[in-house]
Amino acid sequence: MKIRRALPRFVAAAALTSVVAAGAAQSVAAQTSELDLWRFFNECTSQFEGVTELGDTTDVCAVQQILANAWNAEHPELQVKTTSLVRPGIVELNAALAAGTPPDIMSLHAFRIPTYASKGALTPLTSYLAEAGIDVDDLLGPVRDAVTYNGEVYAVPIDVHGALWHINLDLWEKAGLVDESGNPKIPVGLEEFKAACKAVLDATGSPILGSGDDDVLGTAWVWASLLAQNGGSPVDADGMPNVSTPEALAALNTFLQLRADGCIGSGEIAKTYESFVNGDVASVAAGTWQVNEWDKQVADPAAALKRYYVAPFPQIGDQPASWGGSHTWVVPLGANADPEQVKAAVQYLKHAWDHNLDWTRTGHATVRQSVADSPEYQALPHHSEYLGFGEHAAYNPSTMWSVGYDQIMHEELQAALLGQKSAEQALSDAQARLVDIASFQ
Amino acid sequence: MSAVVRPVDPAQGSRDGRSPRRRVDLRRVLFFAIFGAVTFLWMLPAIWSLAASFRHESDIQRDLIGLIPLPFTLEHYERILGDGLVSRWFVNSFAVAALRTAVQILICSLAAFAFARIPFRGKRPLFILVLLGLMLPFEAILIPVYLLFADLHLHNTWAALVAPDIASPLALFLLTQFFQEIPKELDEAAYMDGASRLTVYRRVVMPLATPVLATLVIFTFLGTWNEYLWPLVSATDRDAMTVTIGLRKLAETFGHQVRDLGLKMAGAWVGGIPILIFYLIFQRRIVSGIRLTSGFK
Repeated sequence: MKIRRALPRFVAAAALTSVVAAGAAQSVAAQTSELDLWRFFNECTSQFEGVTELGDTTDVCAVQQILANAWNAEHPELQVKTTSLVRPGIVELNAALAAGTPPDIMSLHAFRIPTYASKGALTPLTSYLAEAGIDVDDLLGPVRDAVTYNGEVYAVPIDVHGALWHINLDLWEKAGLVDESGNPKIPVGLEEFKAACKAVLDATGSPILGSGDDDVLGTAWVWASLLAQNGGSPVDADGMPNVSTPEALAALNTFLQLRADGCIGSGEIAKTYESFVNGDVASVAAGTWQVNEWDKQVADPAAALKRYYVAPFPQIGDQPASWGGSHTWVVPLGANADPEQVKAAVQYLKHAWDHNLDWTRTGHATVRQSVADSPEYQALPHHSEYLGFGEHAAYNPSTMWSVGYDQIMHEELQAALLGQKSAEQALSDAQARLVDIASFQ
Repeated sequence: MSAVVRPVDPAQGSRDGRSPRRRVDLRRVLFFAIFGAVTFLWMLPAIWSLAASFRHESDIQRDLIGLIPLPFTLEHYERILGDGLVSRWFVNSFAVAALRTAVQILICSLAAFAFARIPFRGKRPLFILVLLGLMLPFEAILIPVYLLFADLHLHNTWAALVAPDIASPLALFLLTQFFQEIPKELDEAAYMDGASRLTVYRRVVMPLATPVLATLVIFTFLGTWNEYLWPLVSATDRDAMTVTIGLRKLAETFGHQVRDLGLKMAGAWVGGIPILIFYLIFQRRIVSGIRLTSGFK
């Protein structure tokens, strides 16, 4: 029992620090017969111990753990040891990097890649991926950009997650927005959106895009989607914050106007979702992670939500776009890692790559064009309905200052939405705060 | 408040002919009604979380603020308590909290005895140096402490979870202050009877310090049980996790906060019940301990 032995070991170590310190030179990470994989997505190891078949699970933890179990069953020579982290796992990663004991593989949000890659903490993977047979040209365009830093691919992405438009078809039908084949008539552009909004408001009294002010999804991500739809970007050509521009202001003014018109909802996002499943709100902005949850409601006879459809985030601007992000696998062994150790890690990444379809059972979109084109993927619940979402995902800026981006934008946009600041002031304050962060990088 | 408990002579009548006892009863009823309402409001989040822990997730999604767990389910508790690791996390938490409490009391009381009772050169500056530790948040020294334990290969062990706070500036300060108030004549009498310093510490000072020791035991135990940041980074192996971290990971959900609320609330109750029991047992000590640490008499 490792733990029971530990206390006397500590006492001995405290007395003989120099001796133990000499022993510390031995690197645990040097073993390639066991891959240390750190991941968020919950702790469920004992729940799925020994399970190697995915069955019909859609649970994020189950899929991750069962894929690792399946690998371990097939590869006794290279076992993967999974360690769960509290999302996003950054505190644990930073401590391990400082101590020189990083894991071989770690889950990381794509927007964090520049922060770590620029410090040499991540291993560039382009050549390793090619050698392992991972074709990065198969990645969707925005996804590939998100995992590339200074021309090098630093991660194997596993999904595109982000904001979608979840629709109660019964209420849309009431508003005359369902065609003969039972599909929703999705409005395209501001005028069509306003017309659809009016129809839904008149028929149901609810907004066409239920949302909330208390969550980043209802503030920063709506604004980011509107900005991207009009070709704007929160980053300038030098990689600095650029959120106080005419395009950014136009996006926020559109957002404010649509809220004032009752087209975009307000209040608490949790209450909005409650109203949606109770059949009181016609459609809402919510994440890819919500698809399976609401599919369960449809299957529950007690739920008012009976006919459910999932579309990409509404196109209100000139082009389709929706806030999105990617979970990725990175190799945090550093820029000059032992090639054999990296190759071992990449073997497992290939396994994850090959099972990308399985991960998309969770509701998230695939990162691979070949998977998106496959009938198996399109047969997964609702995936064919939001097929275009991944290729139009607007990612958070891949910059060093992205760490505080969501929170700052949420706070400033919330102030504008609640009338505490003018739109100009909110964006100007956001710009100043982001520049502050950027100047420290 | 004093009006409520004021004794009333039932033999005395009132001018309007109504019984004074009845009037007092009405005031008591009002008192309890108001305080009952305030208590209910204060407890509402806890009541809600308890109810949610016994509700089906789909029901919660349809009625977020429901307080009556009907239909009733134990599925969230079955999921948590059915996980083979949870009992181990409880053992880890209990062992770490108990060990740290015991070692901290031992080390700090010995040091406090020295500061309070033994004259030595540089005592005052050294004491001030120790107290400076009170101003240093643990977050500021997290990485150096992490590196130290990494060098010692002690992460994912009880030792790593116990050791960082065994020399507690707060405990040392409280004990030193308390020891200084114990009359020195008691020590001198013991020394005259041939007692050693260690005997004075064991037989004279420590028995008289029971109130402050009890306070420290309670607060150190509770603080260690609820500790988050250090176990989060030090005990990452699933076998080494404490219940606070383990349940956090077990009940963590992907996406935004409105999912899997029942599981999260059940996790909170499973993790919190030992503390609740501890609090109920030591309620008086905790209250007196708060008085002691806050300077109230």
